[in-house]
Amino acid sequence: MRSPLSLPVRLQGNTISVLDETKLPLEETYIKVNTLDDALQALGQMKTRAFGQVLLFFYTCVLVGEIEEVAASFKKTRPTFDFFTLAHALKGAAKDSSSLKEAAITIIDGIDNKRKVRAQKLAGILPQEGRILTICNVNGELIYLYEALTGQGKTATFFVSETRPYLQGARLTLWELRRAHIPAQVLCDNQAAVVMQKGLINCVVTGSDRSTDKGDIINKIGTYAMARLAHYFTIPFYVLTQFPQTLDIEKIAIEERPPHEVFMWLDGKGPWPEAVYPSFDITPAEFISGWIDISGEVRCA
Amino acid sequence: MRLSEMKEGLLLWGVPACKGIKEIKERMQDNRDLYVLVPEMRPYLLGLEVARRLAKESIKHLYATDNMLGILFFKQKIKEVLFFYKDLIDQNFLGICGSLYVCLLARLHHVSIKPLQGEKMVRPAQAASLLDEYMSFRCDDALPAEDEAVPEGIIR
Repeated sequence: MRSPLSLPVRLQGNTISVLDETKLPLEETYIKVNTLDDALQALGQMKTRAFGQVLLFFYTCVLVGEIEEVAASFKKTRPTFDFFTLAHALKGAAKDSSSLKEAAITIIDGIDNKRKVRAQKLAGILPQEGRILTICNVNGELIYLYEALTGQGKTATFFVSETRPYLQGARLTLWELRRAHIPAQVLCDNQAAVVMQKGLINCVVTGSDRSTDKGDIINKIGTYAMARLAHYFTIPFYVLTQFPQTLDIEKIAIEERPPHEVFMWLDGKGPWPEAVYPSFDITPAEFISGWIDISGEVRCA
Repeated sequence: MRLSEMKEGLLLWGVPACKGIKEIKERMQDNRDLYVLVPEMRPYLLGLEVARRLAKESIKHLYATDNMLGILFFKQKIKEVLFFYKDLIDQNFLGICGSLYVCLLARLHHVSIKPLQGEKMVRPAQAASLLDEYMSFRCDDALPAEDEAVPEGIIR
C-alpha cells in the first residue's frame, strides 16, 4: 500500500501538482505550481516538506530549465536543507540523460526504490514485536517499514508524537497509518518520557533532514529530546539518513520560522504571547543507536 | 525572538499559584536579564493560561512548544526550572502531563529544578483532543494524557 505522501509532488505536463500538506487530514487537495515563484511560495508556506521538497526541487528545475538558481532560491527559503547536493546529483544524472526531465525522473524513481530497500534493512534490526515511537513524518516510509516488518514475520505498533507546532505527526503520520490500517496511537510530544518509562515503546525511528559522516543529525524540532530520553532509558534510537556529509553540523543554519506560526493550529485569534520557533534541532551521534542510509548502508553504534 | 537573542531562562512547568507568581517576580527583580519561558503544556494548553496570568502581572515571558525544550536545554538557554507540582505522594512529585519529560531533560542537562506547590487545575472533562477544534480522535487513537509522577531523586 502506498501513502499519498510517498510521492506528494508530481509533474504533469508543464505543471507541478503539490499535495497541500497544510490541509491534511481534513482535505486532500493539490495546488498547481507553474513558476519558480509558485514553487518558492509553496515551499515557504510549508505546503510540502521533507521528501516533497526534494521532488519539488527536481521538478522545478525541469520546469524552469535551470539548476543552480533554483537550488540557491530554495536554500534561501528553507536554509537548513541541502539543496546543493540535490543540484549536484541532478547535474550528474543529466549528463547521461536526453533531457533534464528524464534525469529527474530517473533520480526520483531510484530514490523511491531505495527508500523501500532502506525500510527492509531497518525492519531487519527492529524487535520482533516493534512498539515504535516516531516524530514528524517520513512520507510514507513507515508504511514501507510496516510491510517489511510483516513480511519478515514481525509485528509493529506505532506511537506517533504529534510534533508541534505544525502537527506533522498528528495530521500526516497518523492519517497515513490509519488509512493503511496500521496500528497507531498519537501522543503529545511531552509524553515521550512517560511512554519510555512505562515500557510502552521499545524503539524510536525518525527521519533526518541533514546528517554528517560522524553520525550527528538535524531533524524536526523535538528529535533531540526524544533521542536524549531514549538514551537515558536505553531504548534504541534509529535514524533514516541520506547523503551524510563531512561537515561541522553546528555551522548549519537552523531555520527559525515566524513566531506566529506557533499558534496557527490553535483555536482562537489571540492576542498571542511572544514566542520562539526553531524548527529543527541537532542530535549528536552519541545519542543515536543506528543509521540506515538511503544507499542501503546500515551502521550501528 | 530568535534563539541567539535568548540568554538566561527561567522555565516554568505546571500552573503557578499566587505564591509561585510572587517567586517569579522576585527572580525577575534579582536578575533583569532573566526571561520567563512558558511552554505550551499539551494537551490542555496550560501554557496559554499561564501566559495570560503572567501578562496580568506584567511579567515578561516567552512562549515555546514543549518539544522545543530539548534544544533550549542543549543550547544552555535555561538556567533553572520552577516545577509547579500538584501533590507530593510517597516521595513522588505528581505533576501535569509531561512533567517527567521536563524534569528528566533538566536533570540530564544539569539544570536545577525547584519544586513548588502549584495550582491543582481541574482537568477538562473532555479527553485529550490533540488538535483542539480542528480534528477529533477516536478514543483509542490518542494515548490518554495523565498526570505524571516524578521521583524525588530526579528533582533534588
